[in-house]
Amino acid sequence: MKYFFLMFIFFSFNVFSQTIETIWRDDLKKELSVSCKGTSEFCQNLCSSESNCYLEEGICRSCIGTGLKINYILSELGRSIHTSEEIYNSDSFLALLKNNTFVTLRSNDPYNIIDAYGSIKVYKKFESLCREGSLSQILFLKLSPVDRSIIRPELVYCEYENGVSFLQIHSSPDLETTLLKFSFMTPIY
Amino acid sequence: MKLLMLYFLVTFVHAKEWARKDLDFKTIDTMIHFDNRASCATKAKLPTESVFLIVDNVNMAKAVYRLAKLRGMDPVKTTNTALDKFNQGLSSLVRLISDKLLSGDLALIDDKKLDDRYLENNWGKSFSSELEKKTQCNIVKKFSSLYAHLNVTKPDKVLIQKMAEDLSNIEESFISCDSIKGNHFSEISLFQFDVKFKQHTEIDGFRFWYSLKVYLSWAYRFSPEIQDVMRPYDFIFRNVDLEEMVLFFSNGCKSISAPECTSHNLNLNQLKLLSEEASSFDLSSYEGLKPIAVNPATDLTSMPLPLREDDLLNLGDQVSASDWVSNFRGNVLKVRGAQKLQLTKAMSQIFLINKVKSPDDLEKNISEEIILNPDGYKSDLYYLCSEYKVATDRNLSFLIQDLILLKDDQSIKESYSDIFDQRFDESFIRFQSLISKINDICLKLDGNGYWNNSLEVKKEGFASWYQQLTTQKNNFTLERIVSSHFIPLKPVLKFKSGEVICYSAIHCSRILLDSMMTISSLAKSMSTLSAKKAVISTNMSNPYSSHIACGAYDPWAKKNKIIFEFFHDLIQGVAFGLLPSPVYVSVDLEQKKLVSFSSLIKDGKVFYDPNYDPKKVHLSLIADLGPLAGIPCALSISGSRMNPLEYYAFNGISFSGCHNNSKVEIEANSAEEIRSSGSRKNYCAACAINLQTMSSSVSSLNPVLRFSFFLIKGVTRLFSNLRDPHDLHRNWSLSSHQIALSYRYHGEISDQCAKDLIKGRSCLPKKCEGKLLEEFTKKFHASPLESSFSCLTGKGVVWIKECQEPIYLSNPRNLKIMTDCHLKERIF
Repeated sequence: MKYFFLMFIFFSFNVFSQTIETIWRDDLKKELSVSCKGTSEFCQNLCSSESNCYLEEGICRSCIGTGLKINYILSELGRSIHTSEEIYNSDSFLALLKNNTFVTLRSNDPYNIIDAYGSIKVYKKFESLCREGSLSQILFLKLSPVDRSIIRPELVYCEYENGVSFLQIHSSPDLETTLLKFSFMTPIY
Repeated sequence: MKLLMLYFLVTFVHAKEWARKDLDFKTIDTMIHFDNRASCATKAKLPTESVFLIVDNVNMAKAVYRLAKLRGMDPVKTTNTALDKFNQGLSSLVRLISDKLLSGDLALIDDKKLDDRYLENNWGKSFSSELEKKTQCNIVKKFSSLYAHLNVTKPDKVLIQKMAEDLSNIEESFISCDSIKGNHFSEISLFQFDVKFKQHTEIDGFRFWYSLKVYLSWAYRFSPEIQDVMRPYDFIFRNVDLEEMVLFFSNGCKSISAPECTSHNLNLNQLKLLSEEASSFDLSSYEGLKPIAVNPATDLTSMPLPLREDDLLNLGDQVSASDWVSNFRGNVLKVRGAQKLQLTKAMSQIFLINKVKSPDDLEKNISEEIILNPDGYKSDLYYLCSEYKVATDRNLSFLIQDLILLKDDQSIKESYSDIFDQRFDESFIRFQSLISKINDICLKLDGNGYWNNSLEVKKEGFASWYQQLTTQKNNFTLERIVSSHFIPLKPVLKFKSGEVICYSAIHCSRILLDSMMTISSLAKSMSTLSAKKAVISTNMSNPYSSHIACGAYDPWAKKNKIIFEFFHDLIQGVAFGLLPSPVYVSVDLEQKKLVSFSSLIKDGKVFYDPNYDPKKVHLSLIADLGPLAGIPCALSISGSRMNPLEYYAFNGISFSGCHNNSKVEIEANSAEEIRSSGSRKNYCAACAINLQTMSSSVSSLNPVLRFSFFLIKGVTRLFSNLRDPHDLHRNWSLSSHQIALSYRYHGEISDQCAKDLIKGRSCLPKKCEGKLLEEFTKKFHASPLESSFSCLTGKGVVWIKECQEPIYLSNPRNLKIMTDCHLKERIF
């Protein structure tokens, strides 16, 4: 298990040698900045720059509200909506950013008006998506290219003291079933 | 010119000083329409020209507040500025879309064209350089007497006086949207938009409002104009779920959308129930939150028709408009919140159980559980079998019909697939398969006498919907819990985190049924729960909108009945006059009566199809034998228990018998109690001992007098019927401008003045003066102080607050003005 865990860190850090940051600019628009390190061609492919790309996020239709979808996502984070050790594919991530069909969400984001602002509960929900000890988490929601409504939570970017990871989000819950095996007995009816 | 002015001055030396010249004359030119029940119901089929828009600013304010905190800005100041910007932007966008549609610059749309690209394309083509401002926008401050048409049938002197006073302080009732800046909006806003559909134009009012709602949904997010108006907050504003924040409703009896007998339409009309005072509003007994919600059409057959004065919108309960909207919003929010929780939970449970347990798995597991612990699961099995039996047997309940509709309900399907990326109809088919499997298991258990031994069953152990159906229980907790009687060591399904979904396959199956029942109940109010591509609207101001949509009230029925009765009386009079012995033929017209509704699905929408008792004509025949046979008895034969002898002004004792197949009923009543019992019999016969010998007296008269007697009776009945205040069409229109002008002139509204205003005339002493001043003040910002007119010449002079010089007016048909002053024209 330990071996697997080390492999996982090694793998994730090598595939993604870029860091992500989101800010609300002075013009009150949201911007995603991608910094590429080392020999990564990610930024080159994204915005033809070697080190940094700045993407202005588009709007997210009905993200600020209490609609069924956003309500479900925010309330089920870390429960039905969770991560495994599966890493998000780098090419898919590039395509997501290039198409600008995403919106980012952090635990203290103004998009979340359902949970109390700055509550520990929200922070814990986001934290539970990453491995223990993550410093910050950015959730990427995939949007419809047609009307920019939310399709699904896609991946989470986790930042640790000594690296980052991009994890695939699973919208199917982790369930446990108990199997009963008594079919050898005669039914009573 | 100067000579003409001199002529005027000489002619009008005795100018009348206006009584309330101290008041600012800020009236608006609008007609306020009052309708009684029949008239209001008829108007439900017409498109409105005035709508209210409720805007819930809370979500937007929360987001801006958080953004300001995140960026280290002053959160309170930023939020207040943003509120102004938001309301300014939204109201100007509504006006822009409305003006574009009215001018034909922007294409009207129909149902099928909701594609964003289509809307974008249309919007791109609509760039008229000079767009005429045709849409009036106001912020409603108070539901003053100027909104009395919402809950008053007929205006009277007291009301008109109050209206005149409120018109003098019009800014207490509403202010123009142009003065939004610095208005400091609170958590909610209420706007009023007024348009005018010119007659003989191609604009279909219902299509206009529909297009406005769809374009608003799109343009709010994507039009360049909105970005300019709302900057720098435009980005965060455009992320807001606009559809859940705003609601249009018509101002008055006319409708914003064509009345249809659909679940969607009826539900939206039911929103009026949420205007109840919040302190007395009980969420747990709210129909839309009950485990089995009654179909909204049911009320139409069971509840009596309301009166306009019943004030179903509870406008009289709140001091200011913002209090009313705030109260309404509070209730809507509570209901929506609870409904969303219930819906999401029910859908999640279906999704989770279906994910790991097929109907075959559940069937197999239930069999295994019975074998494993036949006594332990006995109570749970009893609950399971009872619930499935009652829910799915057509002879025991109507529930299965509602459940079957779910499969094709578009709004449920969309919501489910939106959240779970899975089709609802697939889950439903699995559920249908489970129903037959469980019913089979239960049938076998029944056959084997499984329940014969001792069994512990409690009323509280059943699912809430079952309790509602089988007991008189009316209040339920909002959280639906299906508890398991037997708790096994290892639950059959749980999250890896440990949270149990269901303890056993029996429990899982009960949860599945309960979840379907919850969705079925909530499906009846889905239209108020989620809206996507268009802002929602309701005709809730008209209490008869749903009745008209579903044919539950015929506003012409009374009129038809009166005409029918009058002609019947005339014919009866002729027959009575010509025949030697009085023969009376009574024909009673019984209108068709709504008895129930059938639910059906069409294009994913739930429709209610009304079922009627057909229109019936009851014939009765009376032959007064008195004059011929010398006995004081009038013999009547009729198809109903309705006694035609009442028409004789009969006051005696009657003996009657009715034959219905083999059953004969004999009744003896005193005359005052003789009334139609409503029960229908095949034949009825009555012999009435006529103590007052009225019929004999009448029959002894000559034919002309006999005819006249019945003619007078017929006319008397006609006039008596015509006094019906509710079910014969009556409406009154008051001009706000005429009221304000009359009040300013006289200083009060007298009885005669009120009558004149109701008839559509201002009550200035001279007719020509009223007409000229009306035209003049409608066109210009002018507050008359003194005036003098001669109707012989059709000319007059008026002194106004806004100008030092006198103004000369002539030609009431085509107003002509002579003045050196620069007069400011009114826009609306």
